[in-house]
Amino acid sequence: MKHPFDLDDFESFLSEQSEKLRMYPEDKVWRNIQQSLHGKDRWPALTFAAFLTGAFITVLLFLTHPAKELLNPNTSFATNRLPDVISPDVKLLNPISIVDKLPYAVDAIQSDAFHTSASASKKIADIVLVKTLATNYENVSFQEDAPVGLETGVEVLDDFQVMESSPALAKIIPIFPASLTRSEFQKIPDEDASAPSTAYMEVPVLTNSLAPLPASQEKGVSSTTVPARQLLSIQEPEKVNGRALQPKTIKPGRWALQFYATPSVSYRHLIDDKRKVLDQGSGPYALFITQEVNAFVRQKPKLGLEAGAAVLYSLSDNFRIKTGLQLNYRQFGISAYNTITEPARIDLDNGYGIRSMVQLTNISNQSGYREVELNNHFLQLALPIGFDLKIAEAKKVAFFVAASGQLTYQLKSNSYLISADFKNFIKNTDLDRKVNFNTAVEAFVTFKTGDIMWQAGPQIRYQLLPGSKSSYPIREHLMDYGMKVGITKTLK
Amino acid sequence: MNDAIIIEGCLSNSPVAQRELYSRYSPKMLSVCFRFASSREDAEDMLQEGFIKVFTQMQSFQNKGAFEGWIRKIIVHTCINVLKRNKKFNQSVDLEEADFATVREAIPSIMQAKQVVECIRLLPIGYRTVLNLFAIEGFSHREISELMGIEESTSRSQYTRAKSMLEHILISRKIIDKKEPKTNLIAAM
Repeated sequence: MKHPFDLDDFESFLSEQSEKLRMYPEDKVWRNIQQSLHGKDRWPALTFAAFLTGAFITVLLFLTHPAKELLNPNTSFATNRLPDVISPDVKLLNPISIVDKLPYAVDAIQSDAFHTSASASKKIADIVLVKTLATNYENVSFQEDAPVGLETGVEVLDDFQVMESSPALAKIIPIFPASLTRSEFQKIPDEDASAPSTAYMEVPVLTNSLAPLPASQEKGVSSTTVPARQLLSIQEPEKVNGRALQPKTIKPGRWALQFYATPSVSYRHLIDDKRKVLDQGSGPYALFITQEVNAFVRQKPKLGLEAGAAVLYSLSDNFRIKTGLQLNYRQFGISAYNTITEPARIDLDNGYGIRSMVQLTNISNQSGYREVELNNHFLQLALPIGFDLKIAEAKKVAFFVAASGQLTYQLKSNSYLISADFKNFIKNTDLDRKVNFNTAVEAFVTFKTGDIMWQAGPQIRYQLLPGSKSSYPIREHLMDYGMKVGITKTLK
Repeated sequence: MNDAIIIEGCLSNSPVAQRELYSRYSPKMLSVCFRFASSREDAEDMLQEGFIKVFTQMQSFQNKGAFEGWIRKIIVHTCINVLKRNKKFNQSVDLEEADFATVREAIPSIMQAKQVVECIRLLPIGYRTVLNLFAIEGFSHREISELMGIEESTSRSQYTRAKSMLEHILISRKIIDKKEPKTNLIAAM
């Protein structure tokens, strides 16, 4: 180059050369400027997630460490052997926990906290006690028809409403298998607080353990009614007549296997904060302006499917964690036109400047001789990890909420990218992101039959990372709305 | 979106307008900062600080002159302030220790503009700053002396040395041809 170092030429030369240079700053520069001008971005999602996490931990702690005042394990009372009239076939289930809880429960029911008449409280206590014992002793039945002393047809509606809404009763009721119903309450006489307990249990008895039985009588087949409180005196299993009582504990299986499928519809949202359009008037260097990309692309949601299997582990009655494997198939359509083959440019920003990639295409976003729908579809292998939380339960039906995160690997895809000037679509060959991460939230209702649980409910799934590599300036995020159905079997 | 709309948006503290302004002018302004800074990271720091001043002082732009020139002036002043704050000028105050810059790294074979800028950046920081301000940004030596806190004569002498040094570098890298000596016809005769 000619030496420019005459006085006027030198400054002109340096200015001219310097003005040609363009450099592109890192994203963090703009973020820092934004933060300085507008303060830190508020992340409501983080606040919400923190609140959910805190609520979840609180619920989990409550479920695994319930209130102590009603469940004092240190209570002890006189240990008696089974009354002679009661057969060793009467087996006490969970002897320590149930028997420890009952006295306190009964006392609480009889206390003034319930704001009922003394007699009503006493009778309620008896009925609740009897029903509990009936479900926790094998071979014992609840005698619904009360013997002499309990009358029917008495209306005590006001007290029952009080009882129903009593917070103290609400604490106690869950530890009993059966709730006190209105019809049972109505059997309670209104007065006579001094009347002795008249709640009875019907239990099998040994007619005569030593004497031979008449041929017509089977040993142990006869029954009698005994006061329910007599069974309360049992603290630990005892040997009666040489035979040991075997407390039976029932442990539900913690592991479960689940199969599920989620038909869903995929929507695509495009985000572009570095959109550039070439201005022909400024030579080889582009004048940059921004455009809103979603206004230029016509997208159509399509049906996809997520299906897989999972293993669940119950940490408590209401909470379980899960993981497994699944396949995701997602698709959406883009409306476009076929046109004559023409070059289309995509600008890629690798952080050191813009690199343009030109490719021939016959797909136009604007006009053409024929309308066409571009089908974008993706097949992914996913590893979900999540949890289910039981919110409510009534007999065989329960309501759950669940959340999970999925690490995905793209096995196969067919997608199209929009060109830098929004005029054309180019087949995407190597800009797809192979590894991605999805999050999902769902709610479902379950119905239990034996050890099989059927479930159905809505699910929302969101793809966190853009579908294309970071050098492509338009970020694409997929969101799926679906209905998940599944079947879970508890493993013993 | 033209400059007037951007200015109006920035005065309203609109993030969209601010982003548009930043996208439009940051590539050129970063190259300005790059000529003053020791590294790309320093250049980005200068750019960040400069644009914050641009946005916070937007109301002082009174539509007198080009908007880009106004932004550039703020950026240049920010660069000088950063260099002064980091005491970078102390490195080049002693002229006797200044020497011709040696080649520390190979300049990648790219456009000539970037080569020239890279050669400018090879100069000691004091020389480089005076050269940038006088030859490219159009400051007078008096303004440079006020800006950098040096004597006007120092500014002139530093510029002369910077120019000589830059010439040597550009010739050694074959970016420009060696200067042909002017023949004195009368002496030759």
